[in-house]
Amino acid sequence: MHANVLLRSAKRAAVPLLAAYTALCAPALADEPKFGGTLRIASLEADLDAFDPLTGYSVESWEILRATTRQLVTYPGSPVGLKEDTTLVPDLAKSWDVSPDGKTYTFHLKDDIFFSGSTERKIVAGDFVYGIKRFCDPNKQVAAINYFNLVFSGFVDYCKEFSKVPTGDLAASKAFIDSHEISGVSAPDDKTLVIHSDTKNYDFLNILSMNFVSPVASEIASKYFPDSLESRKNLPSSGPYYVVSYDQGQKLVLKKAKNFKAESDEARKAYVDEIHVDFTANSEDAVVQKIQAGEADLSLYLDTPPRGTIRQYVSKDSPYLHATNSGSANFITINAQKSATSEGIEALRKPEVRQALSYAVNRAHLVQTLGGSIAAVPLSQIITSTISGYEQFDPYPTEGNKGNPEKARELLAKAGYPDGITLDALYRTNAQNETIAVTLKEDLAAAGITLNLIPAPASEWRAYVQDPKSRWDIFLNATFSPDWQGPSTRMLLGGWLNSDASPCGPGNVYAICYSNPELNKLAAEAYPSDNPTPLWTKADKIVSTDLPWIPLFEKRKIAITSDRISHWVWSSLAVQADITNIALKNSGS
Amino acid sequence: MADTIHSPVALIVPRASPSPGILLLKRLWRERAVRTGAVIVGIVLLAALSAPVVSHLLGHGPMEQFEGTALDEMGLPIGPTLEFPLGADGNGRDVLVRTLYGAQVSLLVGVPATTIAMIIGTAIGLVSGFFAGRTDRIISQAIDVALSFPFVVTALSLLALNRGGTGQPIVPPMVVVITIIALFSWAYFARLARGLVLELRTSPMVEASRTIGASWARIIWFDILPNILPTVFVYWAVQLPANIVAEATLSFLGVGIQAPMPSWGNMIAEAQRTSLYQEQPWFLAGPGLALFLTVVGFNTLSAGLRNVLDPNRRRA
Repeated sequence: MHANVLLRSAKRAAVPLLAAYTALCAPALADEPKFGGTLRIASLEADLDAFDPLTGYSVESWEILRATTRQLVTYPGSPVGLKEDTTLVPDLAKSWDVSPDGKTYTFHLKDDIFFSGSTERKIVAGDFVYGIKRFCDPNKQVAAINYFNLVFSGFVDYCKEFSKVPTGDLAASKAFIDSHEISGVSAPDDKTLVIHSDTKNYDFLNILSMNFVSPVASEIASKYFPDSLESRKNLPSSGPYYVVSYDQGQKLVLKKAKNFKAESDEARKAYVDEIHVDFTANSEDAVVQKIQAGEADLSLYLDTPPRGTIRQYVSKDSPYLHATNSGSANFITINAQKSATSEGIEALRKPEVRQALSYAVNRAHLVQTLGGSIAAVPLSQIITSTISGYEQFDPYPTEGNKGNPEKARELLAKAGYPDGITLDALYRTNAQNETIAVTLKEDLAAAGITLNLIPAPASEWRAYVQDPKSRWDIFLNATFSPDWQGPSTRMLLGGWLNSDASPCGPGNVYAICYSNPELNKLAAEAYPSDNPTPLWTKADKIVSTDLPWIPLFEKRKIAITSDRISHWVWSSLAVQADITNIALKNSGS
Repeated sequence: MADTIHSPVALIVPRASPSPGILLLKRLWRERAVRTGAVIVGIVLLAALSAPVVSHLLGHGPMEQFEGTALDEMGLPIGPTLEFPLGADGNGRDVLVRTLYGAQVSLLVGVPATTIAMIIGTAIGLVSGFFAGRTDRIISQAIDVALSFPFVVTALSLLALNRGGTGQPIVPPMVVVITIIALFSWAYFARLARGLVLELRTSPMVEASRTIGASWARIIWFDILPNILPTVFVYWAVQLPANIVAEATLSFLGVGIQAPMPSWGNMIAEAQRTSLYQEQPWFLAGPGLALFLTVVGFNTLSAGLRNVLDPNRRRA
């Protein structure tokens, strides 16, 4: 009886209590990202430009590789913005020791880490060693060799030897890798990886966080040419997702690996079950329409959504428009190969001509045609706002960033070109880049600089820029995205523009052959420094004044998504969406 | 009385004597399709010719950008206003002025390409039809081969080949576009001419010429050619709009007329690729309607011409 009363009162109390509990917790539960569902990505390009940790170096390839590769250390992504995603967390490495001189790192790998897809075996330290040894395979070299030339002991010598191996012979490459060692990279046992550098580098771990340094299963990878179609189909995945199918020009299907242990990954929640990349939408318009119609959730290769689309989302105050400072920038790059001798290139070797070019550019106009201040801000220096060492600096200021054609003409006349100059200007033929090219052509004409526009389709421009025989004086659509946010100044000032790190040659992505001993000296000082920021600031001022490239604008990253996305995360490495941390509303769909 | 008898005669005599040319024109004008077509084509021609005048009146060059007045701060183009009758495009250029200059490009490419195709095609068709036998079999095969090439794919490859080692086009793109379009349309003329000649070569007229010992050149030139030309001219007008669309297709695909020079094809492509037509529909509608109007005009005109000039049609 007593018990009954108690039970009844308990029941009576329980109803409102439960209601209160539900009321309190429900929103929290609803906000909690859900697992499951298929994330659908619409690609503007008909294929991935690269899908191998060795060669992938575009923000788009890194966005996808984030799902299929893991590194020693990585960033967990941030829902706020790219600049907020700068804290390194352990990835495949459980922990690491640093020698007192800061030159040797010993990584201890986690236990429950596996490949998926073409092999399902455990990941061992030797897989990292193999991945690094592949970097200078003459068949396909790592995309950003400049980092590794500087930080891995013995790497340069190893590569010099490797370059003697004939191309087109997989067996010869394998035999070389099996029989040669890089003195600074070793795996004493399956769980331990030791990496030694000749110098101390403050950003050593940041360098290792890039997708290049991923474990590669040698028994699979050595069977195919790097990044060939067959290798893409059989990619041994170290990440949470593996390749189910890959139809070139059609569709890439990634699925969550059964042996992926979520608790072993502090950076990737892997909310969705599958990721589908659709390559059939081939115009900006089609991609945007797919997203607006809910047929796709995200875009790939859509640099900035069309201006009209941005305005629609902004005016609706849509939660499906995400914008962040990105540190990415656009430049006009100059063909500085020693062998190039066109009239335009000869002229551009004179500082006054480069200054004239900088004065002639109407940056305000460019920003406007990109969609206004939400999409970009004018840039007048080499390093960008999210990178350490940045201090706003404009060596050649003009009123309202609108350019100064008169000043440009004066400088041209001073350099011996009173009648102006004509330059062969390469541009990429998508909507946004063509707009930039046409805008520049018009604005530069006012300063006596005539541009002969050379169109290069998406599939061709990279090869065209890299081919030493190609004829171009300037490239109007060179883009830069930081390899990581924050302490990544090394990439531009210490990497691409540093002739000690990037000697003029085919490994350099933009075939930029800039050499400035003053910069090289400052870079060499900055690497081992505990406080490199002021050095980079100084280097930036020197280089920005010398104008190896003409800075145009810094872009803000804008992404639009379908309304199926419930949880948004930026990935600083990909400078885009973090597809391994995005969650969908209805897990069933 | 006498007056009443004379006056009709006086009226009839001059009516009976106009030249065949005027008679033909009159007969053409009586055909409604010819009238409609001619008016539309006239408008298009006028538009093309008036481009510099309109450009001067509005003070907007075809490639001039007005970022201050024609674009808002988010870079979105303005719609139609007095200053920009069809609004602006994504670069702040005047859509009307560009559409009018686009008409020039369309005609400058379409007319020569179709004319070259007509001359080459008719010559080959004449030879093939007149000499018959083995020559005819070989040429017919060649025509079939030419017709079986896919236009866009071949055009894309040929235009890609036009880029020399220096990156600059070896031949001006406009010339290449004209050549490619001519290459793809001569075969239609050849087949048409061949069919007509095959019929004529056994006609009593040609037999008669042969009997009096006329040379084959003379027979072709004086007996056959004048008889097939009307049909060939009609076909020229049929082929022209198709070739204008072909130019627009190539420019749309980015291999024809290059930016920033306006052509309807690349204007349509730009409006579509930037999605700006959603904000400023005239960016797409301007060149789109112009292309439509031109095709309709030439098609109507050619249909009318065929009604009047095609002997088979007339009999029917």
